[in-house]
Amino acid sequence: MAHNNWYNTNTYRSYPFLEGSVNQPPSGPLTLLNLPNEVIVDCGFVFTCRSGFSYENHRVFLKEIKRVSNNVFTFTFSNDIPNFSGYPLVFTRDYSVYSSSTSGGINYIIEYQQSDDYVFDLSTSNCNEPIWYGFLVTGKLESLLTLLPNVGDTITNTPDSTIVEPTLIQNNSQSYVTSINIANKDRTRATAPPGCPPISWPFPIGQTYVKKKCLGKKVCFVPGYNCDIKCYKNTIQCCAIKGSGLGEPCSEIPLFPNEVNVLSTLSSLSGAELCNSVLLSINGISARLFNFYNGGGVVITPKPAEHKVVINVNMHEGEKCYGSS
Amino acid sequence: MSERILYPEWRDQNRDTKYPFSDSAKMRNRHGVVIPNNLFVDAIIHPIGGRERMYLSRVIIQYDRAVLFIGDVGARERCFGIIPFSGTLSDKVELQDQFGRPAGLLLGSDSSNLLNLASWGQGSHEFDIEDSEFCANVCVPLPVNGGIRGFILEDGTYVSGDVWFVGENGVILDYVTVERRDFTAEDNQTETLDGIVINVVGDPLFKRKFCDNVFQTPRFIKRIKVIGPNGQIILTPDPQGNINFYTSNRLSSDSPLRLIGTENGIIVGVVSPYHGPQ
Repeated sequence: MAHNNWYNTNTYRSYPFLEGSVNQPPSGPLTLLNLPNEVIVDCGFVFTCRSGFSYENHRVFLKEIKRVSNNVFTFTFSNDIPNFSGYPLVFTRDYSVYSSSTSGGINYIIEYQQSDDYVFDLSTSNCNEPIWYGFLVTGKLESLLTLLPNVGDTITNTPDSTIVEPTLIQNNSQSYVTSINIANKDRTRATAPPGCPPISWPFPIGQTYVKKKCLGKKVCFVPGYNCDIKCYKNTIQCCAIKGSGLGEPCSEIPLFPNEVNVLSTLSSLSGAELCNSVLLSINGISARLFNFYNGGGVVITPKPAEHKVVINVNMHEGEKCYGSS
Repeated sequence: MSERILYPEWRDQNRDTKYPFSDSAKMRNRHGVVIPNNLFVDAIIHPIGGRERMYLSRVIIQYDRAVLFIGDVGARERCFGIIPFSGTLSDKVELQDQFGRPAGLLLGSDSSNLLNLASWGQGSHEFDIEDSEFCANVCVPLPVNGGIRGFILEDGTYVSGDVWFVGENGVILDYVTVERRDFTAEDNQTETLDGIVINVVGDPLFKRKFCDNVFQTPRFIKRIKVIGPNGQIILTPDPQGNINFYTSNRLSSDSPLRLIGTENGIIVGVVSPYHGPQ
C-alpha cells in the first residue's frame, strides 16, 4: 500500500503549526490564520544560550509573509521572548525559481537561517551569537500569488495564528558558557571620623568595575600576589598564601586604570591612612589609649580642647630611683 | 460505514499510537503498570551528555505531583520533568537536567490525560529500556564535550551563559595576555591566551565593612608638635609608625629626667639629686 511522504502529508494538515492556528476559512481581513496548509510543510528552531526561551512561557510563530518583489516572498518568524522579538528569522522564496524547477510535483525548498547576533560587548565580537537558528521547508507557493497580488502586500499574524509546534524547538537556554568576563567589586572605602568633613570621591563608589569582557576561547588562570593556584582532577583551587605567586605587592592595585591619579590627594586608594602615616607607637609601646603617667618631679596637664599635653618638669617631688625601695 | 481521515492532524495521528515511544516499547513495566498510548503525542529530548536509547526510566507519584525521569544506556536519570496535579494545568512537561538546564519537552495529548498518572498510586514506578524506549527521532542528545558548558561551585550551584568572575573582599582580578608556545604544532608557534590574574591583597578596612552599624572611624594621631623653649618641631612617625622620646641629648648625659615604659604608656618623672644615694 502506498503511503504519502512526510512533506506531502504535511501539505494537507496544519503541521508544523498547531491545529487551528492556520488554514482557517476567511472571515474578515486576511491574516495568517487563513494561510493554506500547503504553503509551509516543515520547520524547526534552535534557541541559543542567551535566549531565555521556555517551552511553558514562550512561543514561536510565523509573523508575516510579504511580497517584496514580483516573484520574491519573505517569511518572517518571530517569538514572544521579552527583549528578543527584534531578532526575527527571515526566509526568502523566489517564485520563479520555485516554478521553473517544478516538474509536475511540488518543489519543496529547504532554507536555513540564523537571527542577528546578540551583541554582548560593543568593543569585540568575540562572544556575539545569534539568538536562534531555524530551517523552513515550503510546499506549494501558488496560493501566495492570489493572497498577495501586489508587490508590498503583507499578511500578518494574529495572537492565535501560525504557532509552531513546541516539539520542533530545541531549547539550549543557559546550557553552556557564552562568555567569560572579569570585574572587581569596589574596595571598602574609608569614611571620615565623626566631626570631620566627609571624604569627597571624584567618581561614584560602590560600583563593580569591569576589567575585561569576552575573554577568548582559551583562558588561563595566573597566580597573582599572595595567590597559589592548584589543579586537582577537574577542580581549580585558588589559595591565599602570603608571599606566593607574585609575592607581596609593593603598592596598592588600582581597580580601574586611573584610580591612582584621581585619588592622588588621599593617603591610600581606599581613602584610609597608611600604616606608616599614623602614630602607632611611642618608644615601641603601642596602645589604643596611650597614657602619660606622672613619675614625680613633673606636672602633666592635658588640654583636650587644644589636642595638647603639657609636660612641665618642675623637679619637685622627684624620686630617688624608680623601682628601688 | 466507517470514515477514514486521510490526512489527520499531527497530534491526532499520534494520539492513539505509541509515539513518541518506539514501536518496540512494551508500554508496561514488570509490575504491570501500563503507560497509556495517549499519554504523550510528541516529544523532544535533548539532555547534555545524553546517549543512545533514551527511555522513561522512572515515574515517582507523590500526592501533589508526578516526577518523570528520562534515562539512557549510560544513566537512569539523565533528566526529569514534573507534572503538578494542582494549579494551572498544562499539556507540556518541560524537562531539565540536574543543574536545571533545559533538556526538552514531553507533549501530553491533553492536560487531563497527564493527571491520570495520579491513579498509578504513590511511590516509584520503575521501567526498563524495553518497556518505554523513545523513538530515536525525538532524541537529540547534545555533546558533553562541546566546550565549557558551565561552572559548578562547591555547593552545587551551576553557572552558565555570560559568566562573570568578580573579585571582592581583598581579591582583585586582573587581565593579562599570556604567550604560550604550542609544542604540538609543527613550527612551535606561540599562541596568545587570555589570562585571569588572581591577586589576594586583603581588605585593610574589612572591619568597617562587616561592622558597618557600629564601626566608628578612628581619628588617628598623625603628627606630634613639640613645643619647647627652643621653638617647636613637628614629629612624624618612622616607617613603622613609631616615635621615640629620649631623656637626654648631646649636651647633657646625666639628665635627671626618666622615661619608663609601661604596658600602655610612659611614666615621665625626674630623679632628684637631693634624694639620691650618698
